[in-house]
Order: sequence, then structure tokens, then C-alpha cells
Amino acid sequence: MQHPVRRAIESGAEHWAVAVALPPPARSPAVLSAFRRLASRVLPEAGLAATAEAMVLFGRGDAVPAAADRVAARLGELLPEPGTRFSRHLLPRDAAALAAYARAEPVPPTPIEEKRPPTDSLLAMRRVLAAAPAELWVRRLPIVSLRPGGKARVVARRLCPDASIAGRALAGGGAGAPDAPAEAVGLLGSLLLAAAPSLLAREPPGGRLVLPLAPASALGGAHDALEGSCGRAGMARLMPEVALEDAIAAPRAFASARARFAADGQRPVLASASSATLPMLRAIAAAEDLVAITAPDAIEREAAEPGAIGRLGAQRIVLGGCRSEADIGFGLALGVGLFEGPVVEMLLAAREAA
Amino acid sequence: MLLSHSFGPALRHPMTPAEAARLFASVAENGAARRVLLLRPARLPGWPAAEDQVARLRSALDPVLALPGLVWNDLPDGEALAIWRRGGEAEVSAVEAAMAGSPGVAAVFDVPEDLSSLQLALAVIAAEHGHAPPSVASGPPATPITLEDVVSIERVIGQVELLDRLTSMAVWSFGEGGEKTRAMQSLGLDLQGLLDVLVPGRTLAPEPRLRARLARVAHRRILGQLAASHERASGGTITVPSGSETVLSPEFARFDASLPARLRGRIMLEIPLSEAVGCVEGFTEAARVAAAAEVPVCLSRIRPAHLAAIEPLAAGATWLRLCGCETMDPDALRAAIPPALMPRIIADDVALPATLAILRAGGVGLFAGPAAEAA
Repeated sequence: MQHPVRRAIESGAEHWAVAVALPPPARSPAVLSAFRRLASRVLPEAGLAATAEAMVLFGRGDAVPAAADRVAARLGELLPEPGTRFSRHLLPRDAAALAAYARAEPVPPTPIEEKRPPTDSLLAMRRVLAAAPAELWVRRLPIVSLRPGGKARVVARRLCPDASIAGRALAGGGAGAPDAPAEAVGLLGSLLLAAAPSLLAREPPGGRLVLPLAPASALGGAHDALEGSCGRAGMARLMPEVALEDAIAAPRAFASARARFAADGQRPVLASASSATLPMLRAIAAAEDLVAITAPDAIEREAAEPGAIGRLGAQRIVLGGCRSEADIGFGLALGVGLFEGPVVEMLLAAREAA
Repeated sequence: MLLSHSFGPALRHPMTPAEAARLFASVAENGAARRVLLLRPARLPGWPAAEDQVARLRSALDPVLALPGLVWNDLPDGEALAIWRRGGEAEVSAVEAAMAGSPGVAAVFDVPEDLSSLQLALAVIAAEHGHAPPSVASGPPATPITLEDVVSIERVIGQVELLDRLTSMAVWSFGEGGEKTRAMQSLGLDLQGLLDVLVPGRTLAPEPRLRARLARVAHRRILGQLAASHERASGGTITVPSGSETVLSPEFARFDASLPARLRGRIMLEIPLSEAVGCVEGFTEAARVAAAAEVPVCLSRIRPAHLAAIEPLAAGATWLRLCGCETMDPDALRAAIPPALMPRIIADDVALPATLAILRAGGVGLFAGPAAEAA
């Protein structure tokens, strides 16, 4: 498609244009949208071009100069940052002034676009990890029971793909590759399900594993196969972890899955990923469910809504992401008894060393 | 009621025939196998006074209730479904023998093999008792979608005309005098239907992360196509399926740039609550970007019972679309909707005129579903 500014210049027809220089700090999706919204309001059929550094709006007709001034004035209110500049031009007379815009590349993809790994890379990552022993790429994060003044006791281990190993697999094996993004890690759920029997076999007698699971998976053939491998006694040692969003997306499947968990003697863990969704967690979790939240989310929520953690049921909370003794102290003070996170791992390592 | 509340298995759920039909379709879709005992004690001669007959049925049921993993579902009007994994032949035979003289009281189905007959039986129950009819298709068990399937779909989706594949449903507003006007057109994407066309025999249900990835690809394609044909909204307000990442993508920027002022506010983006819950920060940012572009956001698939718990998310949405209103009793439904949110509610999938009346009396103004169509 021809660049809109170039097309306007080359048409030879008279166009008015207003250019807005937007240095990088001023650029954001919201600012871009505000510009476009204003532009389309005052110049309903105006054309628009944007570069990494500036945007230009142009149109035809006598009303354009005044409209462009209004856009500039309104944007001046919205974007008071020094360095934001506006200029008005008449094409083709001022074509030279707009040449930079005509040569400019289109708006680059948003950061979110760049962060998303291509599907082919995900496929390669999955193949690599499927061929590797699960012990290499699955982390078993200890969940410990703690009481003030008491000894830490491991009650279960949460299975979680190692984002660092997954990142290396995603990057084709290169050392120093960044961790795999959450989306890529999330796609390893079925591999984790397949690996669960061998990981369970490595646990000490009676050891429990928390296994991330989509509700519909618990109704499907893969789960039947899991039961075939683990046996009824083994199934009772697996604690299915259901993400809150999956429980909301498939409420009927979640209700049926919950019945199946109970029939298998399993206690589910319902996990929330944000402090803002803790009230939702309270609305959805059944009395017998454990609920998993992170320490930063819990601290944020408790500050915003004192008593929120107590109402969730402190005794059934697994406080994850604990990075400091202060996080653990926060949980203990509220009656939380189950903890997970780097500081928990350090605590256990120190005990073993002693 | 065949079983008193203090008697029977620990796992008991109330369920409508439509919900049961959907559950069994889901079991079949996911490649699982279940045995189902449908019990209709009202068909016993002289029910509920026929004490001998009832006692014989209860006695025959005792061994069934002891089967491992059994879940008991109470259907309305005293009927029931007992569901367990396969096995229990002797126990089932005992029930059938006990009820041999009373046809239609007990029937056994194996899902997925007998899915069609079971769904037919549920449809009959729904019709007999005036409940919403089950509307689920039965088909062969599907295998879960794989990442390889998504790769192949991503390669071809650029050639698929998705706008033409969207389903369309009217959203109606009701005036104080009961007069009905079409408020907007709700466009929907049947992602499973699209998958059935592109990769037949696969199901999305057990793989929510792959479903989310596929939905993102489809939503971006829809927005890209809409940018080139936004005149679709010239006939009135439309809602299109979308997601937070789509709003923050280049497709939205191009759509925004192409949208004339006269159509702003008339194309709305529908984002499911589950997606907003999965990434609150993403949804908040998307809602901000969409608001700056004067593109309203509908937060959809909200259960009434969850309304009171979604305050931070609701703040970013112009409209809140409720579903599952008919799974609550009327008093609970009235109490579940905070008055402050009432003017922003769209009630979806309203099948029963009674539900429509309750919500209208409560102050809800916009409705979609069979009851709204028929009103």
C-alpha cells in the first residue's frame, strides 16, 4: 500500500496537514489513540500517518486549517511534555517539510507483539522438552507447613515448567537465552500431565504433587490415562491446581472436574494471578478447596481491604512467591500456614546443610 | 425426592436437563467414558404413595450408590442421574430387575456410545416439565487440539474471511410500556466451529492455553478485516468478539486510524471475563486504550453471582454481559445484581419469559436470547 503522505503529495491536490512530533516518552498506545480520536472527530474523513517519532494528519477542504488548529490545541492540553511540537502545512506547497513523514516507516509493532514467540519456535521448544527427561525441565517447588516457632515441614511439591530451561529450548539451545514468557510456559500443560506419573514415582512415600490442570482435562482421556498410570492411591497424592480464569471460562466443566477430584480423593488448589481477582477467588472456591495466591498480591489486597485474607480463609491459603522473611511473617500473622517461594527453598536448604 | 438430603452419596449436585446434556456432550468431546443411570421415580405406579415400589427401588439402588466415584445429580421434579466410570454391571442389573414391571423408571446409558439416546431422554424430560430444551449436538469423540494444529491454522487463517463466519444475535431493549427495539447486533465467533472446518475432529476444551492463542489470532484477523469494512456498523451498533492483547496490537491501531468519527461508539469490543481475570493488567490497559479511541468494551460471560466480586474489572467496561441467569433462583438473581451496575447490564441467553420479567422488573434494560426474541 502506498504511504498516505506520499500519496497526498504526489496527487498534486491541495491538502492541509498538521504534524505532531512525539518524542518516544510521549508515545503510548493511549496517546496514539487520543490523537486519532481527536483527528477523526474534527476531520471525520482525514488521513493519518504515523512514524516512530511523529504523526501527521491531513485532509482537503477549507475547514481543515481551523480543524487542524483545534487538534493541535487539544493535543497541547493532553501532551504538555516539553519537546512535543505541532506544525501546520499546506500540500503540495510545503511538501519538503513533510518529506520526512513520507519516507517514514510505518508504526513499529507494539512491544506485546514483539514479546510473543512465533508458533514455530514454540513447536520446537515443545519437541525438545518432550524428548528430554521431565526431571530436567520440571521444577518441583516445595510447599511447606509453617507455624510460629515450629519447624518447616514439606507437605507437597508444586510442579512447574522451568522457564529458564524452556527459554533455552525456545531460543534453539543458546546459552544466555531469556526465560520463556508465561504464554510459552503455559503451553506445556499437557507435557506436564504426561510426565506426572514418573515425577510422582520419584517422590518419597506419601509425598504429594500439585499439578496444574485445566478443568476439561480432568474429564478427558488424558486424565483417564493418568489414573491408569498412577493408580487410585497415586491419584490421591496428586493435587490438581486450577487457574481461576479457567474455572470461570468453563464453570460446568469445573463443577464436573471438582466432582471427579473428590471421587479420586484429591483436594484441588484454585490459583489466582492478581490481587484484583481475590474477591472472585472467594466467590468461586468451595469450602474444601485450597487457594493459591502470591505474597505481593496478598499484601496489596490486605492493605486495600483489611481482613480480606482472613475472609478468604487463612487456613486454606497457599502463600506463594515468598521472597523474604517479611512475606512469611505477614502470612503467619494472619494465620496462614502454607508457604512457597524462594525464601522457603532457602530455608529448607539451610536446614539440610545444618 | 428419591433420596432424602441426608441419604445417598456425598457428591450431589442439582442440575437442569440442559446442563446435563451439555455435561455429557463435554464428556464425549473429551474422549472420556461414563456410565449413567437415569431414574424417573415419578413413573412408578402410584408415586409417591407407592411405598413398596419406592422401597424396592431404594433397596436396589444401595449397591449402585456404593460404586466408587459415583456422583448423584438431582434433576428438577424428583428425577435423578447417577454417573460413574464404567463397571457396576451387576448393580445396574439389580436395579433393572427391580424395576422390570415399571418401564421407564430406570435406564442405563454409556457415554459416548449412547450419547444421542441420553440427550433425547433429557430433551423429553425438559419438554415434559417445561424446562429449557437441551440444545447440544452429539458427535464422535474428538481428540484435543495440539500446538501443531495451531501452527497449521495460523498459516492459513490469513485467507479465511472471518467476518462472514461470525454468528449474529440481536440485543433488544424494552421500554417502560413493554415496547421492544433492537439496541445492537452482537456478533460472535464459534471458535470450535472454525476449528471443525480447519482441523476436523479436534476439540479445544481440554487446552485453554491453545484456545486462547487461537482466539487471539482470530480476533486480530477480525479487527483487521473490520478496519477495511467498518461500514458493517453503519446500520447500527455492533459488538465484535475481541481480547485485551488484540486491543494492544497493531491491528487495533490500524482499525482505530481507519474508523470515522461517526462510527465511534458504534463498534464495541467484547472481552470475556475469564480473559480479564487471567491478565488484569492487560485488560486494564486495553480498556484504557479502547476508551481513548471511543471504542466501548463489553465484559462478557459474567455469572450473576460473580458481579459483586469484579468491581476493579467492571470499572474498565462500558457494558457487563451476564450469562447463566437461569441457574439462580429468582430471589438470588435479584440480590446478585448491585443496583449501581443495573444500567450497564446486558442479560444474555435469556430463555425463560419469567427470567426476562424478573430482570426487567429489577431494572435491566438490554436482553438477548429466545425469551427476548419472542417477547
